[in-house]
Amino acid sequence: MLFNSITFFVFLPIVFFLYWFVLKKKLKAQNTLILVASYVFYAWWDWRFLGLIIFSTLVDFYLGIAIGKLTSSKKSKYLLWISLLVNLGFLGVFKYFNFFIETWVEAWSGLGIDQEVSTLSIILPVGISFYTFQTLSYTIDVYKKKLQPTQSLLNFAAYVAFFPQLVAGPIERATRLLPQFSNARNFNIAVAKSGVYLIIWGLFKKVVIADNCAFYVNQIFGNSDHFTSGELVFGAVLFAFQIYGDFSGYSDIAIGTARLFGFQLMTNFAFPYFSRDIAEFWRRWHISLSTWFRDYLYIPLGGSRVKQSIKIRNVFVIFLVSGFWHGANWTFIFWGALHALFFLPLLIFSLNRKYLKSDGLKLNHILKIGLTFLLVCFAWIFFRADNLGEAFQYINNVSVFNSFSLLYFVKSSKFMLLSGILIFSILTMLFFEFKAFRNQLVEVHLNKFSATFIIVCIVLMGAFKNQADFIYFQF
Amino acid sequence: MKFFLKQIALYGFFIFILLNLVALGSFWSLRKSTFYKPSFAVNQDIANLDYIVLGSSTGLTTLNTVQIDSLTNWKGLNLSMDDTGLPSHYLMLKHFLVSGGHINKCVLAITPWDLANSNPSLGNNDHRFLPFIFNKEVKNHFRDLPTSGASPLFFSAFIPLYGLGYYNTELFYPSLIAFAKPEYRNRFDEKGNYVYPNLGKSLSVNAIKQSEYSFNNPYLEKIKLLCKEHKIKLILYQSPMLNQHQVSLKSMDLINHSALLAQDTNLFYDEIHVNKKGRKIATKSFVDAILKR
Repeated sequence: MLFNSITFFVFLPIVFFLYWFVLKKKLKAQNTLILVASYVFYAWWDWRFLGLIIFSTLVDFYLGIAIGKLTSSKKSKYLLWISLLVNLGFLGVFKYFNFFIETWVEAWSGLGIDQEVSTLSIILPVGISFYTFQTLSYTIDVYKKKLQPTQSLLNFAAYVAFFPQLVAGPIERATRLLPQFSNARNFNIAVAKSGVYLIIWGLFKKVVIADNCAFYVNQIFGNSDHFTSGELVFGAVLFAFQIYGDFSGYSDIAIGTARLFGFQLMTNFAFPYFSRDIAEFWRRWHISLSTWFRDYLYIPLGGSRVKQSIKIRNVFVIFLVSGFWHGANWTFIFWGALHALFFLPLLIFSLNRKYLKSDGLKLNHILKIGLTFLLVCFAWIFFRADNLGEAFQYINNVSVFNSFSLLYFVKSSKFMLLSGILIFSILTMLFFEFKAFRNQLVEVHLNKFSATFIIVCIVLMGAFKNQADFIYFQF
Repeated sequence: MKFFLKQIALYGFFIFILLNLVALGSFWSLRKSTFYKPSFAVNQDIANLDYIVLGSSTGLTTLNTVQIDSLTNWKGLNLSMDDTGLPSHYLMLKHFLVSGGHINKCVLAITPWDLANSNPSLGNNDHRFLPFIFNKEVKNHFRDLPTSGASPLFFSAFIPLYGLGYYNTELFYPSLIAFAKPEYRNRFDEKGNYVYPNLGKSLSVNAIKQSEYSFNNPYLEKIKLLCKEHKIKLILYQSPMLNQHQVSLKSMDLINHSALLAQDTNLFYDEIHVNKKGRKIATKSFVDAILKR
């Protein structure tokens, strides 16, 4: 079920009504409803893959209990490895198997040896990278004694499948979200209102900005040879707004929906395009994933409390793995490597923690924000391209500087209208976000009037006819 | 909780009313204008016409009603809309007649692929009828056409905001233009014609391919019945095509000019559309053919 579908806006009030009015104060019944609703939400896309979630849930639930009971660290470690193998095994089969096979064949063919190996004809289950990381965090935290294993299968299953964030995050840690299933939820009008406003804001970013950008981005990235340098540069910039609107829009709707049920999810995006350097960008972009990698990969590798060469290695590892997490393609790995390269000078000169707060914004910061944005856009070219060759061709087409004409964006009345809508909506988004950023907030705050304006924008500017899937569903 | 729900309900209701009013305003503005063909078809003197041309892009760009009128002394309009099919042509005829239109002849520009389509569905430009969704003929037409999911066209009769939101760029922004300039027409002349320029795609001449019509589209019969009901003579017309000759084994009253311009690429914009030069010849040939009858 998609957040931007009519089905969801029928589903949500029904679940809300049952949750607060029919099952009020009955915690177990409320959690059961959340679990059932979450499975319905997921099955709406493809019920066959529900089995994977249920299997993963059962494995990690019972392994968690077993790890919690054991006193021997050796045996606990053994059980943790089982959890890692099962979860990462699923990811490996569904997401990476074909990539490894194809890379293997290509590597041998490079040496002149042709191999005949068949690949699997499988589709990627939506959200597998998200809920796998969520269940993994649970067993790792139980193993590290940071968390007592839950004895309630219902609570654990509801935590794994919690529908607002099941298919595209935020990736919630068990330490944060799981206890919320054990505590009674009271309806808080201010929280619920902020949730509704966040849903409206997320829809605006997805339906107006991301889906309208998609129209141009698909054409420009699909035929980069036919566009001028200026148009290609704008294509990359539009993709930056498309992916931001798409993914952060989804996160906002997820967080807002969770608030309606009395749950607090973590902030996933904190105005990343106002970052003044790449380090700040990564503190503001896909926060739930970057902190996951920080806590479960970077720190176990030694983090930054090691000698410089190991620090550099760790940075590369975390960025490469982060890139690979996004998809089984060299483009994502290259994207991760580029970010590592952008990050390294800051690390080497100890400048990576310079901008920890959004206060003190000075005039010269505008230049830094612009430069950081350009670096991010450059890296997005690799993220968006279908393969590395296409990405390099795109950059090559930009670098020939054949023309800075932007006539493509105004070539017909339809294009002029769409360009106008995009300029207006992106400026609107930046205006609201900059206001919040200056006030050191982590989300946009709307009121009745601004929300009305945003809803009118959604209806009159949204790309309903040419809706695009959420990009992060494929990850 | 109750306070929250009350607030949400009130706020939602206010937004719902506000946006529906915007939708109704947009529909009204388009209805009163000549921006799209359905409005153009009814916002002028249509009680004393001799003929209309119905069709998709081939009808729109091949038969020039200005030229036809000057050669015949008839009075007609081209009501063809690009990217549409027989269901839309049927709706256009019905809409025209219900709105008080009167004609003796109806020229229907057919295409082989549209005639062969046994499961006709919505045309890509059917939303242009949306300002008239409260008219019975339009509402019923969209109710009867198969769509996947809830059709924004049909349900706009109950929630206008639904159709306006779905087709926002096609309806809302044009409605602003229509409000400021009601006589503005969306890329067609005062008689409803549009023409492709002489320069088009690079075309190649190949051996003429002969194809046979298949008559599967149920809307052709519906159009025939409607014409019969209103004592209108229906003239089927096949516009010129490049490297193609359409034939019909079934005996039918058809002006078949599919092979008229043979293989002269100078007269075509693309494989199925004539250009300005081609239109002149095609229209003249059409008039000659019709006057011979």
